[in-house]
Amino acid sequence: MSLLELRDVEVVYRRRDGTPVPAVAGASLDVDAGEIVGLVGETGCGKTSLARAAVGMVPVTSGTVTFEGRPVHVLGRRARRPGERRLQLVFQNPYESINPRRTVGAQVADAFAISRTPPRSQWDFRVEDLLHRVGLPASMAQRFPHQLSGGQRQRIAIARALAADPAMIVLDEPLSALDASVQAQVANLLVDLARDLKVGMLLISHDLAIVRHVAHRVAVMYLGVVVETAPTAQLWQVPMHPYTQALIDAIPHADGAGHLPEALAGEIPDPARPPAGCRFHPRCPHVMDRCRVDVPALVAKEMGRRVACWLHEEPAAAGWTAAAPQVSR
Amino acid sequence: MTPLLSVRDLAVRMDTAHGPLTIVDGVSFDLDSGRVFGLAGESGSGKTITALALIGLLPSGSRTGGSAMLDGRDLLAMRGAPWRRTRGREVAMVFQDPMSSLHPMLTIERQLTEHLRHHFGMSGREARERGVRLLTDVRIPDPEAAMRGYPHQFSGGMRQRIQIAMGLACEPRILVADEPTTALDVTVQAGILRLLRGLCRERDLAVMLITHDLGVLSAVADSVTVMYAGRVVETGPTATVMRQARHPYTRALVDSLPHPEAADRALVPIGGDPAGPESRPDGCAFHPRCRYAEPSCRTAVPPLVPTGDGREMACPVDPLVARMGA
Repeated sequence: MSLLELRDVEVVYRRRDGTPVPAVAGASLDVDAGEIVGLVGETGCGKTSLARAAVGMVPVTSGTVTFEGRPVHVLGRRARRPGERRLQLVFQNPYESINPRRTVGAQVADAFAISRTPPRSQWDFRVEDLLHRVGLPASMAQRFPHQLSGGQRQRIAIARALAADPAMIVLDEPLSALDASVQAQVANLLVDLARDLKVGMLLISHDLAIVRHVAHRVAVMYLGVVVETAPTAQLWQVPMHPYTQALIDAIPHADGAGHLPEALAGEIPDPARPPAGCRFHPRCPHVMDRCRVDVPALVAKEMGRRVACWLHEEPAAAGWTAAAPQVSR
Repeated sequence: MTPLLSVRDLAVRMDTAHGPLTIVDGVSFDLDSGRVFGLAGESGSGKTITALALIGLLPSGSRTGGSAMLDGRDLLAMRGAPWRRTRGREVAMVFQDPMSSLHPMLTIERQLTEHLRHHFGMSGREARERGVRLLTDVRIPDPEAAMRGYPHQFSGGMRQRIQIAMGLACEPRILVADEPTTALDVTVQAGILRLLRGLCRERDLAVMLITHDLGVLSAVADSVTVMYAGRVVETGPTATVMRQARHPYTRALVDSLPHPEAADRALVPIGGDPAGPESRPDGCAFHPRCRYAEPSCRTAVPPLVPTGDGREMACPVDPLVARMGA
């Protein structure tokens, strides 16, 4: 059993005229303790909806989300159930997710007040400890958010999540609002935290290059479904799904070679009217007749990879089936 | 070859929440026809203000110094009618977020043909035909239908193409693009970069590409200038600068980037934060974050000097030499 398990999750929104829009259309994903799983894909692929479903911020239309073996409840007006407080979320923009009128220390200590641990006498000490964890001096506790840089604010947002003593943190584009020179600081911090505290992380990002440095495993989403998942190094060396290949080929390299990255033709279709068969087929350079009709299942391959593509139809070895448990790292 | 636009010692002083501050200080570069010039820097480095100065869109009360010579005329000194004839006609600009620069309530046709009527006095039909051709040039599928559309009906990538078409409407000689792909997915970004480079070469257009993304610059720019805290720290041909960055800031910035070919190499972050205009240190503004800093770096601003390999660099310590000695 994994720490966080998403099984055949569907998230359906409704347009104003009532048209159902399946933003997530049957996605499965696991995250283990101490593991960083990168979830990548273009805008509109459903990665943020899946992340929100993972923490109960949007209701799941079908499928299941379980955390530490128990189902995750949808957040309502009441306080989060105590068992789910160890599942935390960090947002993209630290300029919006932090209250400008309260000191950093008071905001980090919110989790202590909610969980009633530790006793108040220990709060200052614990806040100091958490600030230290995220690489900030203890003096930060007295500051207000406007006195901090973007990188420092994102560290505060992470410290706030850590205050709840989480087993799992879902991070929605935590690096994309930061300057290049600061991104690396926060990326390295995430790696350290996952390793030292054994926290599982689901890292949503559109930036494949940074995910490659941070994540142990990567899941690629396209139009509401996971099309490929594999240990990071394998995914990069041999991307099996044509969409994964296209994402990798589109990354510009800062090497001075003047090599123009490859563009992927077409645009992500309307999720309310997904293409028949493989959802990627209208943009796929390797499209076959079968792809237009039959939906490829996410099939297990060697080295803990799974891919949903008719180009790789044959299971790699006997004993592997689509239902086989994920063997990662 | 004489450059098309020659910027010398550009300085911009602006009123800010922290009082009047010098945002850009002593910036010089050339733009050539048919070449992509890349201007790199993090937020607060002054790269966008540099572009706004060239196109005359600085907030009122800003003061500029230096010169920007186009055909013997100084863009920085131009006012009134001559400026209105030049701006949009000879120098056009494309912004980062097309949704905020396109009018949400007007059709693409109305927005695309406005400058054609204004600058060339074209009739409605002429302007319409030209508009359709422009949309074709920027590879918009079904341009006739697109003319009747509104901005919200297009994807981010398509909107950016429409904005580029608007920029090109009056056949400018210079196109300034400020972070044109930052809001886009990589797959879409690649298409816009190909388009910009293609237009630059086909139309002999001088493109000034402003971005924080060294990967983007490396892919399309012929030359790059790297800014830090309002000043140029390194400049030269892209291949020279990006293959072996020599200024400690450029070097550190390249090392901090995820490298697609070497994932096992750990990211090497630069300590501290970029210096904003209100808190720029004395001397070399990078010295508090620099691992090669010497006492003199705290007091004297290092001048930009040629290094003998086609680039210019503003640093008394050459990290290449310092490293070998270490």
